[in-house]
Amino acid sequence: MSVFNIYSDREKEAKELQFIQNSFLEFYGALCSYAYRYVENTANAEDIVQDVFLDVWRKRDEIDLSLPLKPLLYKLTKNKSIDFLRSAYYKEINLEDYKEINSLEEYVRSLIVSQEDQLHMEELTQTIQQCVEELPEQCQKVFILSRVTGLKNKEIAEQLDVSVKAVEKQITKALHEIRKHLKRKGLLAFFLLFSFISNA
Amino acid sequence: MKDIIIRFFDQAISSNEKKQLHHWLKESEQNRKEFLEMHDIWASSALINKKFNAEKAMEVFIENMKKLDDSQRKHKKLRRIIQFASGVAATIALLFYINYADRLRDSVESRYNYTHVVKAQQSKERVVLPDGSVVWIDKGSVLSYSDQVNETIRRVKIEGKAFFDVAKDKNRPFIVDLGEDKIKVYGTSFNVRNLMKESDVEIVLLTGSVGLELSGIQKNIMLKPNERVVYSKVSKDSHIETVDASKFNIWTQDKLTFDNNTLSNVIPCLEIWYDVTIDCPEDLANNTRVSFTILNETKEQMLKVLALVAPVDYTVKDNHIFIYSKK
Repeated sequence: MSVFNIYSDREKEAKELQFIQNSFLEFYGALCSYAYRYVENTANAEDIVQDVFLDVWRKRDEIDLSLPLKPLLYKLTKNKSIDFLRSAYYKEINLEDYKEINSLEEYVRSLIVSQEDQLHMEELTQTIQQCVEELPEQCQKVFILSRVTGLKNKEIAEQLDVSVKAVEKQITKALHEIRKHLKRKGLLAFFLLFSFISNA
Repeated sequence: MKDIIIRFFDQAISSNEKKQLHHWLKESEQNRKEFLEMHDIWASSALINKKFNAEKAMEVFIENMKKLDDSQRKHKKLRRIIQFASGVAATIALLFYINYADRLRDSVESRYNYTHVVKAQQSKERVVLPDGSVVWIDKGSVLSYSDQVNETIRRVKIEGKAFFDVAKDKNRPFIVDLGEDKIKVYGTSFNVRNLMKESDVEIVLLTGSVGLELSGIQKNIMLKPNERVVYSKVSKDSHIETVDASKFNIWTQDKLTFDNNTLSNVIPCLEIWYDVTIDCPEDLANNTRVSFTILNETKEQMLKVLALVAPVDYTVKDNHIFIYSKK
């Protein structure tokens, strides 16, 4: 290694650092949203994305940084999200009621994981937000309390002094309206990648 | 069924309803598609009004990168930096980045018997050798020497960083042992640094003259003042260039004071003081003036102060600091 190499190494390192930081700022939000779709918890989603970028940094010598980083980031995020779900799942299962009660959850997870990649979570959220604003007043109120405030249906019913059934009805209506709208916009056009799941 | 799906999302589903839903999902592709669409809306809508703060997360990420690189660095080769600098009257500065493979150190120790070992545990230390030479050793560095009185050569060994003021004695050369490599000084002074596991040797000479016996290089290298040599123990390549060597021994001072100096003047001093590399856009460095004094501050504390007294921001990655203008 000559002195020139020392300096070009430093330069390379500085460039790599700049590159990873720029990528971080560019994709962080989108990747968190993407991870959220799997893990449904913002803190876990953020941890996963940190881990993804740290992985890229760790393996930067093996990664061709001249290629677009985006596909790799999404792939890593998905894999790590699935790993997370798997470990969280095995942590919480109780072997006795495993078959009876948790088989549905496991099945749903396999469905979610196996569907085509939804890379437009941020756009989806934005569009949904617009839809929500156009919902009838009571429907909008219930939906916001449920999804934005994060209340359980029972809590919403208590707060609005209506029945849980009525809350469920409003949420069903909201989901129906939003789904109709998204379909028109082509934002929900995905399909199952692995049809064998149907036999599971 | 839609009510059941919503109860599933709400985690208020009964086990009987679970069975119904499970059955329904298995029934057809169409059902699964509908369910997944509802799930995606359900999940996405939870992110309404939620913004993931990339800037804040970036700070965490930079910390994480730092930790990662620190742990990876442990596996890298020992980097030794030996710095030679000014004499009592004359000034010689040598900056040495040297690879000190353990086997070489062992062979040196078996060849030569050092009777004194000084380690600077808490802070830098000043040691007076039996011949009157003065050595500053930086925190964490180890200096080995013998009584020397009746010997034909004066010989020392340094691990870490040290600065030598060598008493003149034309009959007894002063030699710094670096494993296969040797530095010969004929009665001046020098500064030695041995910091991390790396394979490069860098020597900077202030004034006077210094001879280098480097392994793999037939001819000895004689350095002139203000020359720096970088030598790789691995590839045996060496390269000499001219530098401003006057700052290379500033780390032996008790404090570092800047009074309305430009960053372009301050940065080289900070680099030597903290053993770091600092990158800063030229424009910013030339046009930013700062005044501050450093005593025992860590580099993190120093950077915080710098960001307070100047319109700059910074990121740190191990020993590499990036300074840029505050947005």
